[in-house]
Amino acid sequence: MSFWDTFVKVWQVRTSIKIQESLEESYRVYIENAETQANIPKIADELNKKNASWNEKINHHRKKTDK
Amino acid sequence: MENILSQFNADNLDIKLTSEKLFINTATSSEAFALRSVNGIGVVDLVDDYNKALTAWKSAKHTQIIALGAAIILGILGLFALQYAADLGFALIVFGGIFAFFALRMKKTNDEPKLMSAVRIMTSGGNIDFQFDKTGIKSGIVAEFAAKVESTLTAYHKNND
Repeated sequence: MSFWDTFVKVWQVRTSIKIQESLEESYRVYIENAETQANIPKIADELNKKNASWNEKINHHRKKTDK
Repeated sequence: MENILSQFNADNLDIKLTSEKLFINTATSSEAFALRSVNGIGVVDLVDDYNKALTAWKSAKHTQIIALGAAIILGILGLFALQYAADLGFALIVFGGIFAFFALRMKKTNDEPKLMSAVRIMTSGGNIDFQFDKTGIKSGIVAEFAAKVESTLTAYHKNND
C-alpha cells in the first residue's frame, strides 16, 4: 500500500470517527434539552411554592433589621 | 470582645456574625473572614442540580415501571407455561420474581428529589455556598441570618469606605 493510500485510509477513519462523535453529541444534547423542557413546569412550580414563603420570611426580617 | 450580631446553627454548621468578622465552622473546617473581604451575601436556588436529580429520578421511575411490567408478563407467561413445560414455567416465574424484587427495592431508595437552595457568601477569594431547604424547619433562622448579614455589611462598608 502506497503512502497516499495509507494517508487516505487514515483520513477516512478519522473523519468517520468525528462524524460518529458529532452525531452522538447532537443526540445527547437533544435528549438533555428535551429532558430539561419536560422538567421546566415542575421546576417552575417548585420555585413558586418555595419562594412565596421564603420571600415573606426574608422581607419580614429585612424590615425588622431596618428599624 | 466583639459583639455577636447574629448566629446561625444547623447540623454541622455554625455561622457567627460579629461587627468585624464572619466565622464559619463546619464539620471539616473552621474559617474566619474579615467583613472587609466579604462583598455580599445571596440566596440562590440550585435549579441545575434539581434538574439533574429530577431527570435521574424520572429515568429510575421508568426503569422501575419497565421492571414491574416485565415481572408481571414473565409471571403470567410462567403460569401458562407450567401446564405444558413445568421447567420453563418455573424458570419464567423465577425470572419474574427477580425483576419484581429489583423493582420493589428501587422504590424504597428512590424518593422524589427536592429543590435545594444555598446561602452564598461572596468573598474576595471566591464564593462559599451552604445548602439548605427554603421550606425546612431552619429556613426562618437562615432568613434572619441573611437579613442581618445584609444590613451589617451595608453599615460596615458605609462606615469604612
